[in-house]
Amino acid sequence: MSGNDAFISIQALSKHFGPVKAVDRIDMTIGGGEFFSLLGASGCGKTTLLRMLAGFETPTAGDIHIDGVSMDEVAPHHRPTNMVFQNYAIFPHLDVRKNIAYGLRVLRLGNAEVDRRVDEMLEVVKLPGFGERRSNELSGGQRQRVALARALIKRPKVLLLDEPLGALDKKLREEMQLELRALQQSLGITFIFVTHDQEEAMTLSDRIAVMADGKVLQTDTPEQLYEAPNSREVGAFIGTMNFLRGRIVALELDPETIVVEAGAAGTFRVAGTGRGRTVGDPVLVGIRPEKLSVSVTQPADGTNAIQGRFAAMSYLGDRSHYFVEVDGLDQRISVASQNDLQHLLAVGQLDFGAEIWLTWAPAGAVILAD
Amino acid sequence: MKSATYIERLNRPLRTYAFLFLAFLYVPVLFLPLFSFNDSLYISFPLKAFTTKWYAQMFADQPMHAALMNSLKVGVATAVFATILGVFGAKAVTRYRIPGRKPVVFTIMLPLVIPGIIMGVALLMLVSRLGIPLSLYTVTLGHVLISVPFAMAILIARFEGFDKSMEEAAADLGDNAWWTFWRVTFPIVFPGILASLLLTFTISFDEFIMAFFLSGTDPTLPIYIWSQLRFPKKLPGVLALGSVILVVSFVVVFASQWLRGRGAARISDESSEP
Repeated sequence: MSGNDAFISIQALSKHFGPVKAVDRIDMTIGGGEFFSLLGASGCGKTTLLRMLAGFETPTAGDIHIDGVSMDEVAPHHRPTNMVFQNYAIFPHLDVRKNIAYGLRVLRLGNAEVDRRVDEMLEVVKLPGFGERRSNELSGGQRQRVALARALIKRPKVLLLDEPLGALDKKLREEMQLELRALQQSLGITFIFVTHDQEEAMTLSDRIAVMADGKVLQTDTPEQLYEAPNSREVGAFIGTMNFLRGRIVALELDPETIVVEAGAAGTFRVAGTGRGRTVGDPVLVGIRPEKLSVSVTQPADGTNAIQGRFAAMSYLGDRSHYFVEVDGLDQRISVASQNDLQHLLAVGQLDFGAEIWLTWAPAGAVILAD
Repeated sequence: MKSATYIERLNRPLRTYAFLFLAFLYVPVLFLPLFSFNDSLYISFPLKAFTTKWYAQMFADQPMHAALMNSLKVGVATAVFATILGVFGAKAVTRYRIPGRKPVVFTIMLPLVIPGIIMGVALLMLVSRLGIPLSLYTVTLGHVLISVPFAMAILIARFEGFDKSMEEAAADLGDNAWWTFWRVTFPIVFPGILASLLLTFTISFDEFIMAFFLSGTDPTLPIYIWSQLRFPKKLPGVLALGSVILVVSFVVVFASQWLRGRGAARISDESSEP
């Protein structure tokens, strides 16, 4: 985000399809050169928002400015944006070269210049020698590269990407993620990337806007979204989160720690969240699975701890997920751990149904808006 | 056939049926060329000597040439107009958010099920009410009317078969609606346009009822052939003409299949060059 923090500015933007509010009064600013993701489940409005940026959908209300210019009356073919479509939309009647050169017609360049630019793009997307092929002679990954080259050759101010990696298999997708990120950083173009895959968004983005029901829940860096989600929805959508509902019973002003009484989950401390709260406030506490550790012996007094029963596990190779039942809580608590508890199981110290304690540091939990 | 899977295994009764079916379709047609080379006025076995005189007679038959030219003119005009209307109509119903899309399509398709004789009478009444003289123009009008549903059916399928994000991509890359149509839409639907031209031409070329009601003093070929059947002497000449049309039809169909095999994409690619 060098210099231009409001390269794209979206104000009170809405799009209604009949009674459905696909996008509902969204405000957003995106910086120049930023890799910005719109993340959400299908139907959350992310694609509609992207299509309004491209000019394929007309906003019901609100406005979009790109580089200080209102896009209100600007047709898609005059916008400084180019798009990579979800299904790539490679023209089937043209070969790769002609697909990539398609957008150069309006620039009225000479043949030599067109050839030079196409060769350059083929180089950038690592497809030299593929120029004479047609769309049906390309693999999914190659089509994706052609779509990218075709959009980038116009040197747009903004590149819009609509789930471009959705159709690729996992290995290829991870490869393309790294390439996309490197490409974006070397070109310095603003990328707006739509995805429903939170890992993908986290890997690629400078900032992510998490969307649901046509609204933006939170816009933040991947770290902030994960470590400090502002709501239950965001916490649950980005990774996994355990939720405990309780009430503040005491405030410890230094270092702004609160003491929460959470019924069946007992009483525990949450650090750094005391400002502006009063005793008696109801709170929702979120704890990430990897912030919890398992103890087979009762921890010392004053440690944050919940007692429960070891109920289920899934082994994922590098780590395992454990599920712990706590009397009086309707949801199991998930715990993620590097595979050392595996040892405990192997040596028979821990059986399903065994009594265990979960402990966490006061700074490991966050207070969420309900 | 041990290697064949269950679904690939040959089925003897079905094979016989297929053979009989093809015979049923084509044996009557084959009598046409057979008797067109028979040196007799009458269509009956046993065959007499081989002759080409009926072909000579046909080539000398000036009114027949005139009728053939009339049919070609009407056929080409019908094919072009019906296909143009079909392209616009198909694009409209597949691409735009039209209120009442289904009733619109239903109305366009209705002539498919209305008996030709009803349409013919209706059009004749309309045309004579308006004081328009019957001519090849009125025949063309009738033919366009009955051909448009076929053109639409072919072209709607073609338009639905390609993703509208292709057109969005063209717009995104800087083309306005006009250029988008010529550089993307037209080349991609081109095989459908070709198919529509061929089919609507064929429909017009052998159409009888509408032409019967709507033609003036210039007969189309089917009308001319029908009028000749009253004169037994003319019959072998009609057979010769029928055989020629048959051969031409086969050539056209095979040519179109060959073109398709060569890759519709390639053809449309070349035609898309500005």
